Amino acid sequence: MNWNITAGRPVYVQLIEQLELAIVTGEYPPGSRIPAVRELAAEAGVNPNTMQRALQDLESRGLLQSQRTSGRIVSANQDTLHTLRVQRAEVYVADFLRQMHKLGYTQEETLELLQKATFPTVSNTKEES
Amino acid sequence: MQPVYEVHKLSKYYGRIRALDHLDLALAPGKLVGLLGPNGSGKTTLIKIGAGLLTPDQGSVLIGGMAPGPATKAIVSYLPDRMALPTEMTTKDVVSMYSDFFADFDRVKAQEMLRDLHLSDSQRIGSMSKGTQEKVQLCLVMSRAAKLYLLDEPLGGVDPAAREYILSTILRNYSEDSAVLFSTHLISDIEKVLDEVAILRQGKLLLHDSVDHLRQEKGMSVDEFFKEVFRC
Amino acid sequence: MLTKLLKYEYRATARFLLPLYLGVLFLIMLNVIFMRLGNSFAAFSGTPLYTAGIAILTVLCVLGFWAIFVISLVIAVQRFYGLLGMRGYLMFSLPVTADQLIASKLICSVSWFFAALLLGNVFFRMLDLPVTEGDMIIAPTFEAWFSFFLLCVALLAMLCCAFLFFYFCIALGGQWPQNRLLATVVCYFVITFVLQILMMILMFAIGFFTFTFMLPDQPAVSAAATGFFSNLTSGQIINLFTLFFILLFAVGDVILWLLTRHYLTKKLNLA
Repeated sequence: MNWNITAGRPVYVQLIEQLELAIVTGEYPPGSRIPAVRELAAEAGVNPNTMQRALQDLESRGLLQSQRTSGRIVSANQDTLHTLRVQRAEVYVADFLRQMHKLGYTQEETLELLQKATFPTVSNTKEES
Repeated sequence: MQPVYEVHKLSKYYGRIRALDHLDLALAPGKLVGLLGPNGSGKTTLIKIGAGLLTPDQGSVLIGGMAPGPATKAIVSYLPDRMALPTEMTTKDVVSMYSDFFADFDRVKAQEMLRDLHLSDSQRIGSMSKGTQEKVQLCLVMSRAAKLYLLDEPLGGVDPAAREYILSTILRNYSEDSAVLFSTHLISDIEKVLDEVAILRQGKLLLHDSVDHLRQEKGMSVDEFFKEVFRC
Repeated sequence: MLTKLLKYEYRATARFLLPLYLGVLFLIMLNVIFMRLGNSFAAFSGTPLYTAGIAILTVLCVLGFWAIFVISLVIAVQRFYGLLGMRGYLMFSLPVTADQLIASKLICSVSWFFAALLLGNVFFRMLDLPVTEGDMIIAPTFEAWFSFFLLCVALLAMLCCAFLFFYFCIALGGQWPQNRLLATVVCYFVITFVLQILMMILMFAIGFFTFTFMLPDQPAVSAAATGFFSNLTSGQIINLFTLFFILLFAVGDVILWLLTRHYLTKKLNLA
């Protein structure tokens, strides 16, 4: 998993976001086991206690479930996943619209741009990467 | 919970210079603590006292509740800021030596780490480059299951790739009953890794706080805060 | 722990010393072979090859011995000096006591020196020198071997004293980490000088006291003393003196050890 922790925002907030993303996009599909705290912390280059905090937050929201001796599994069901997806999407849209507004675009102009733009499919995302 | 490293009114003088001035500090287990401060603020002195290489002039030092001695050395893993391995030995020899003297040394882990960093078993330490020597030293230190890790500038002379490896090794070694005290100048690199920071200035403790709390209170990263406090 | 320390000490010192010792042993053997050849073949002993060969080999052996003694001493001092330098970072991080560190270095140094003396002994035996009146031969009696044993103990005690004295100077010199070498050398000379002065004063005082006050005023004491000594055999007198020296050096050893340990524990300041 690619972690991208930047300065300027609390680390654990970023960890929560990126873990949510990983769950939503299917990198950690429902029912799968996520690596141990230490491992995740080392991967992300962050303090294990901070990672623990992020994981506990996800646990308290029902996205993860801790199994006493064998770590944590993704316990998100379809409903929670859907809610998460929607939440993320709304954040992205809000960000995008804010930036367009900064550039000086109106709502109509933005919609026009969107109509003309090509939504990524499997083939052209592959090209880009 | 009993602190792993606890100093009380610790003072160390070099002639007129107060390297440490009535310092009070306690490190709890399970914490990764950054020891920050400008050059000459007493970081190395504090670390060497914990390692038992310097004796305090005043004050008390307790490691795992014990005064410094062979018993504390058995639970402290010290990484000096300079190369301190015998130059006539090979990597294999020092691994054996560590294995011989330290009950908590994990030989297999050390060999794995050496392999990961592409360090040869049979090369004489004296013939290695400085960076390579420091990597060997680090592997040895991190292969011990110590209660207190004292790392003096572990990232200093090492290339960025190795630096990342070193940090992730420290994180992977994390244990709830050991503490890591980490002195460094490269604050922005390691800020995410630390639980707490202890900032020294002229031998006195300026601040000892959790990273989150400090950022919240000051509204800036630790790196920025440090730059502000120690502005030239 | 001590055995482990000793293992590493011997390993490190043997790298240099073992080849040296074996080299000198080899020279001795050559010397012996040459001599035996000369003794067995009278014709050979007259040849210039023999005389030249023997002369050269003997000189080489003697030089070899000097080399061994000097190098053993230098290595011993250097290893302890290094303990307070870069080497100290590792050695003082080990879970060992200062006593164990001192002991490992002392045992190693003294044993190499003792081995050199044994080698010297072998050399002299091999020389097969004719026995003269003044030489001491060890008679195959218990007393003789016991006296010899006591002498060896005294020798060991004296060697320990010598090395511990160096160690103490080094430990004391470590109090000035910035100028350690200079401080150590200065300590050595100053302490040697002071000890010499003290020795002289002590000698004077004892002599003066004994001969001026004790003996004349206490004829009984002097009579008892002379009586005591005259009742002993020469062997027993030698043993008595040897014991006295053993005691003297033992006290010196203990004092030097404790002082060295103090500076390695309570006053350790690795630069």
